[in-house]
Amino acid sequence: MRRAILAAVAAILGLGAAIFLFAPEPSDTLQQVRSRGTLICGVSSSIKPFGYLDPASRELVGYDVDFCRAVAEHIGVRAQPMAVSVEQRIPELNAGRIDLLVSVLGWTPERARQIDYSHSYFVSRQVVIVPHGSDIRDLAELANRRVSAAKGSTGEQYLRVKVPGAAVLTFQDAPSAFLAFEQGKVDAMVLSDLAAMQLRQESGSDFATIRQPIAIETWGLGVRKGEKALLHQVNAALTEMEVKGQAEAIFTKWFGPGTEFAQSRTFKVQPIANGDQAAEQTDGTLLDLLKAPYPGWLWQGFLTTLHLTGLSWVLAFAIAMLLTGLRMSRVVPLQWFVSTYVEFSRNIPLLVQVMFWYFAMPSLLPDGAQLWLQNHNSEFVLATCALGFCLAGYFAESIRSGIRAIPNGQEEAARALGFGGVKTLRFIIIPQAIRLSLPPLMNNTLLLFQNSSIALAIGVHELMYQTRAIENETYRTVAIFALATLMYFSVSLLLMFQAARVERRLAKR
Amino acid sequence: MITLEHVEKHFGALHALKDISGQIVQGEVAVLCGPSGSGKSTLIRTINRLEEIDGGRIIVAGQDIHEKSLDLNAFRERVGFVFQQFNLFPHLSVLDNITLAPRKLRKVPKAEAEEKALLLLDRVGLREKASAFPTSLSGGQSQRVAIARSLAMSPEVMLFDEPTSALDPEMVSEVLAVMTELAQEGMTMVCVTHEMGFARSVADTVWFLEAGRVEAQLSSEEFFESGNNPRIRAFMAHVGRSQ
Amino acid sequence: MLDIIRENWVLLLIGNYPHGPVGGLVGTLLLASVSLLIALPCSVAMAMARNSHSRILRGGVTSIVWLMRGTPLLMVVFWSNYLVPLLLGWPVGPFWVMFVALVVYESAYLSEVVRAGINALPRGQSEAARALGLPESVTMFTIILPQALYNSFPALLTQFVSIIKETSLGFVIGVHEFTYSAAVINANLLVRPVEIFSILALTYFIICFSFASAARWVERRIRRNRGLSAQ
Repeated sequence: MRRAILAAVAAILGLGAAIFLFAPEPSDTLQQVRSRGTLICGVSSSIKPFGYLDPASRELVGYDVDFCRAVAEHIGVRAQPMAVSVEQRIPELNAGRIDLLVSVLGWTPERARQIDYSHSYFVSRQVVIVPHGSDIRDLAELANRRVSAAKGSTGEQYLRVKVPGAAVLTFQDAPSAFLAFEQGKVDAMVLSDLAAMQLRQESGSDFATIRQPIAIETWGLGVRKGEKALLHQVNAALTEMEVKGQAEAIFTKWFGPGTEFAQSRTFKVQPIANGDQAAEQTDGTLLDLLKAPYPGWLWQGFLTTLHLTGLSWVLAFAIAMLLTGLRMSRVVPLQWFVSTYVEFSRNIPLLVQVMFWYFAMPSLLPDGAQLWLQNHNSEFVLATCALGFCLAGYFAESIRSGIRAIPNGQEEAARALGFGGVKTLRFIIIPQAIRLSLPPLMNNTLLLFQNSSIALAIGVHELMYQTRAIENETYRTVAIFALATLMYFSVSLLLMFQAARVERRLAKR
Repeated sequence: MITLEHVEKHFGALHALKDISGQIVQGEVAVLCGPSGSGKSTLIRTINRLEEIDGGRIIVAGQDIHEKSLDLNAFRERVGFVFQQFNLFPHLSVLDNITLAPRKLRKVPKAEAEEKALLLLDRVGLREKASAFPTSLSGGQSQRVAIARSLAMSPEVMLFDEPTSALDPEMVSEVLAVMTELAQEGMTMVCVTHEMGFARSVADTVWFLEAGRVEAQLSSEEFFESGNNPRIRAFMAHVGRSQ
Repeated sequence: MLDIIRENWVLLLIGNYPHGPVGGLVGTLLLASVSLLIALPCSVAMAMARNSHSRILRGGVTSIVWLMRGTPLLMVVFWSNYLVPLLLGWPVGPFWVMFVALVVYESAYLSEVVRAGINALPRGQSEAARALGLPESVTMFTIILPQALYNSFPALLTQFVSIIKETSLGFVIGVHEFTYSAAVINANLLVRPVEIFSILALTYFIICFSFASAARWVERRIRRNRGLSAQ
């Protein structure tokens, strides 16, 4: 067994080392696009009106999608829009799954190090919105306040730079971030002025916009680094679209008079300033990972994971005890309740339970509780609840199986000796039940620890979240993943050893 | 047919078989008996190498069974073995249990194998159970099928490891009847059993084991008349009482 | 709630197919089934390797199983997301990335199930096969595996429920499955999360509970059959 563990650790490290030797070979994407006959564009699927799923036709449509089609037409191939999340769009491009990013992509020096930008095709103002009556009136006052943003968005990055003191909470996409804003889980949200305008109309709720924009950003289409031929074609297409008025027409279709935005176009397609300068910067090294703030992030994530696991364990155990008590009450409706509870907790994916707790549960709570949540790190609290309430079902099942594994003769023997009902339970049944259910309980604990990683979906800064955050900043994927795997594996191993020891000790009796 | 020379066997600290020698000739029926833990089951399992031995030699049909060149599976085809717990394959029908080895090992065509299997089932009196599954059989029926399964490979020797110990008393006789018939047909047989009635009427020789050693190796008549060996007397009294 | 279902049922059922990959509930079930289909033979091979005579084979497979048991599935998913396209050298969609992650992860877990099934068989089964002269491979494939797989069928069904639940993690890397459909609808409607996530949770519940109940029913039947054989 010990050798197997050593081998496993070696495998993690070896895999890490091996992957360094691989480098994606350069290829000519333009040629591939032509021979394939399709241009695969990464577009957003949830950002109106740039790229979203039209509910009626279930097709991707929007400003970005139209640009994708126009560029494809210019190259002489068919356009194939593919949905990508804001967070995943650059990795997806670099992994070669898409040829061209047309995905609300603002220019930043960090991104320009990872991909090449075309000429600009849109200009957007990033603004901060706050609820009406908020005491926040300018950007400086965001310090120490909670601000939501879409994961990996430019808004998030500008906010970190301009207001270093703000607590940034990132979400899967802009609507999720807005939902958190609307439910009062954050004090402000950073987003583009267009998105703000549109969210105001769709949700019917009102909010104030801080006048001073956090950034004015220029958007371009993205290609993999070094794809000179494709970039040239894309730029030629954009220039031609500008000259022929096609670019203007697409803008008018989505933002002009007659749309909810009623905007007029104030920009033209042109090369992005500073575009080339950033491209000269060199790649970082592996040592970047050891630089502040990354080790701190990782450690903090590790601690959060342990806290999350510990607290939800206590919660789960308490609920499981309660459930066990109800089950033994011999009151039929109560037993039914317990069975239903157990089945629900075990037959719904934990991710869905976590999302339900986070997005749906608060609105079902009384106002006082909602207010309390807002002021107490709601995503951590709700993740703890989701994990605790879910695992309680597993714990209760384990305890039940322990009780059922006690031979009938035990109770009979105790009764024959003259023990009463309660005393039989206390001296004979419960001590045995705990011992018998200990191994499955240990397994459940392992499950709980590993599944705490799912809390990343609602923005809890636990180990997996921090790992992804560091990956997004440094692009040292293999090293940081290997490190995180090792951290998870070490704790799991401790738990598995403990479980094996308990089982051995029980077997001896 | 079977020759044992100074066979030794250890299980860790336990010395299970101590310097066991003896011979069983063609057509002979030998019964191994002795108190539990005397090593008789271990001994019979060594004869087809279900247990490896630590010393000595075992020669079956002129073949040293521990020779490196021996094809163990081919050797085992020639030696039938019947277990205390039957060990029928529960996912196969009675007929498939019996035809499995001939078809997989000897590549006997299905029809031919089944024909022979039905004849064997006739012999053990269970033809009507051909398509039944082992779970639906009684213990005595299961053991008779197990015997038929061994016979399907036309073995030269049959080994029985307590074939009736796991059976309810009323089923013992039907299994013994099959074994008796087999003996009368001239099959070489080694049986570990406590059925002294069977030993008296069918066995040619009786080996009495105690604490891993062969205490006595006598002809059946000698064994049952040997009132002078106190250990045998004690054993017989014990077996007699329990039956 | 009903109006959400009425307006979005196609999206919930099949995602934005045919304008994109098959998604929605069908995508979820497809992903789960294909993963199980491939993971099962892999797990049988792994279980056999763990009972083999070669120490290297045994050790190697044992480490894989331990590694998978000690790592969150989400971590495996992210690894797969990064490594699979890199190792194959061509772009791989999120569906297949998730497929690879599930196969690798579940093979390890299923191999434990299969191994438990093999080890739970009475020793007499392999002894009887050996006494008949059956070689090891024939013993494995005609005697041991059929019984082990039959006996562990309920456990395999239970594992299928786990796989269905685990496919929801594909949402994080953008697999167009059921949770993704719900998230898209949520992004469109914005202010009705309670209803949308209730629909999502209830649908998962109905499917998983049906399979889990089937598993329990099969288990009772098998146990009854075994009870007879103990006679």
